[in-house]
Amino acid sequence: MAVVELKDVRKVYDKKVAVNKLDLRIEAGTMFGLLGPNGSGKTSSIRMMIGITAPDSGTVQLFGEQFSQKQLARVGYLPEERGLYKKMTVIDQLVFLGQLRGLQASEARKRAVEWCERLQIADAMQKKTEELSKGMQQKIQFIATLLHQPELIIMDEPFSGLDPVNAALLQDTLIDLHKEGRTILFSTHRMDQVEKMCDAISLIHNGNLVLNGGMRDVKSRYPRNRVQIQFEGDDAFLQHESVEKAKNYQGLAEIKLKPGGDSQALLAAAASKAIIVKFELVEPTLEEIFIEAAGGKNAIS
Amino acid sequence: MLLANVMLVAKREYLERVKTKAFVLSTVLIPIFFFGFMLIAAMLTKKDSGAHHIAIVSQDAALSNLIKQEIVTGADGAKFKIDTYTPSEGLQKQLDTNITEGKLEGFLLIGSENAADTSKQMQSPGGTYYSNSASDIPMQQRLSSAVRNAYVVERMKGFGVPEKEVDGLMRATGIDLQTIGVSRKSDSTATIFGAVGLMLLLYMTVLLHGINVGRSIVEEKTSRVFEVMLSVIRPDDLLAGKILGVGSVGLTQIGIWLASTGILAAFGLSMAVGGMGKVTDAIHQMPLASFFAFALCYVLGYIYYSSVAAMFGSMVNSEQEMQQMNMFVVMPLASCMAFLYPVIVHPDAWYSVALSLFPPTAPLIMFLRVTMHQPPAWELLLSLGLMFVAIYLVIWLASRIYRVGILMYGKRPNLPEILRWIRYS
Repeated sequence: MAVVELKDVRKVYDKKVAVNKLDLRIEAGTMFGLLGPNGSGKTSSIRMMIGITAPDSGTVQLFGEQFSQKQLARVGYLPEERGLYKKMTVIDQLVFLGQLRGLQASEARKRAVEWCERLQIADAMQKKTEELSKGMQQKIQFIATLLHQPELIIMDEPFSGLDPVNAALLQDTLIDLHKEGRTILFSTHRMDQVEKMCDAISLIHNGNLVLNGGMRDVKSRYPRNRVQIQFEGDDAFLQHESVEKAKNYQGLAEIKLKPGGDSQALLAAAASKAIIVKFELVEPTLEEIFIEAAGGKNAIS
Repeated sequence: MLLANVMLVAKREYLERVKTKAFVLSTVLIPIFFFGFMLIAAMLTKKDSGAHHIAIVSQDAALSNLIKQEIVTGADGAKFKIDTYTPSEGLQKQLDTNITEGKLEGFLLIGSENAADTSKQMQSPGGTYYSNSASDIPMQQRLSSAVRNAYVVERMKGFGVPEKEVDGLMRATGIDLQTIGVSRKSDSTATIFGAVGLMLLLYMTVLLHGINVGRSIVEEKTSRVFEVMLSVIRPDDLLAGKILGVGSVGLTQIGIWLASTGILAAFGLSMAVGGMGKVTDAIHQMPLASFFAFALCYVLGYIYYSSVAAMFGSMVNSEQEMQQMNMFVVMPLASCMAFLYPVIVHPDAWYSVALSLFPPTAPLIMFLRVTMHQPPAWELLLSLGLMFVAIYLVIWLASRIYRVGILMYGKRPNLPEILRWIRYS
């Protein structure tokens, strides 16, 4: 079942097209990465998923139904622009947000305490938010998103501004939640995180979907056209007809093949003149795929 | 609309505000300023400081003495030192110098031309008061009544009326003003004091808490809390909760003030604090209906102005920008203060009626009219009806602008953009 489904969604602010004909489908239980550079339409898409704004055209479905306010009880949303009530204590704030999501005050308090302990901020519970560091505030919001045990967790840039230790802590928490079977959507412009964590991705650029699908599927669509060769001796093979671009770092050559270039012929050519220590066909990184996909799209438009 | 969420938001807003020092301070300081202001104003108009030193110049020495007597009897507690002169060469110049040097407050020159003209002998001689203050209206009134009285006494004596009878005839018979249909026991001064006092209080609370709703929206906007809130709660619920919560803070404050004046009066303590008694007494003499009217006017005025403030709050991006927008709340309210005096004097004039029907000024002006004088029922109903329509419209507009406006950052929207927002939502 698709937990989130956007069909032909379009959103225009004044004259700027924020989202253009977006189709997006997130299956239950996936860890989904929404990728794109700043200003590409990620936040606009997310806001439409949870009814903060309405699309100009197209349809939004949550849990297989037309969007309605009551479905929000099953969603936890961490916005990119984060804020908390400055004068409230952490625990009061969490209880308040929990209650707004339909929890009893006592239950909200119990869960808030558990989460604060899990994310190592139990000491801060009685402090006012204005006394806390940015990273701490981010953790509190992270907790607020999860208190009501939502089936769908949507996080807009959840790791931005965190130090590596805390970023890892939150990443691990998300991975745990994923294992529990929750559907998780997070947006980021950091491809390395997505590459590690996600089952499926969408790449958005200038409001357009440029790439969509399961992680393996996406990667397999892009040919393994990169070769790393560690060698000793003659580097004449760098001029081989299959090579489009090559860099030689003192015995380690990074080579990009021409379309249709033959990696095995290159290996043979190299082996005939030099000693090959290591030969590897490298999978393209998500970043490279993105640059290629976005560039291609731009070229068309 | 989800009532539970509205109440949660209202409770949060309420508790956050009531716990602040600002709340405690404003609860204590507003009545202090307000009573202090009333007290000083009352003292300034009631009591003149020190003795007045004036001179009377008249051909008729007997008349001069009579005028002197009349001034002293009608002095109403004020002290007078009065010199009498008959006109002579250089006297006026001498008196002028005395005034400029501050030795004399002024002098009254009684006209003499009428004395010779027999056709005008039955007329009061009249006179001119020379002083360095152009606007000493109480003194002018006091002198003209003294001259008039003295002249009448002199004439009566001239016609042979026995002195005892003249005294009896001239003894001042004051008139007590009694307002019909408002309060049976209260005297009119108390009504005015009470009405003006409560209206000032109404003005301050509506203004303070109305603007607070706008500020609270700007605060959520700048701290970006509303992004979290909007994923949980509908904007209408958030706005309704906010208006309810902040408004209850005002009601709490008013409740504290009324209860404390009640307690003060019950223990007779207000008397001990001097002139403050006058005001609290005045308020306590007001009928219960006035307090009901006060609460109703606060609630209506507050809802109207807080929605206006909410509308502007969601259009702007910072406290500074909000300050400029606050003029839309302050101006109509402040204009009510400008009309305070005319409305008190003529509560049924066309402008009083118009102002009490016009929704932005209605809560304050209608309250004033109701306490001064019972307006006809149709005016009350029409005013209420118009107010409800205005509130409905403003809330409708405010919630539409709010829904879109809180998500907008950056430059302040222009009018066409705002119109688009209204259509959009």
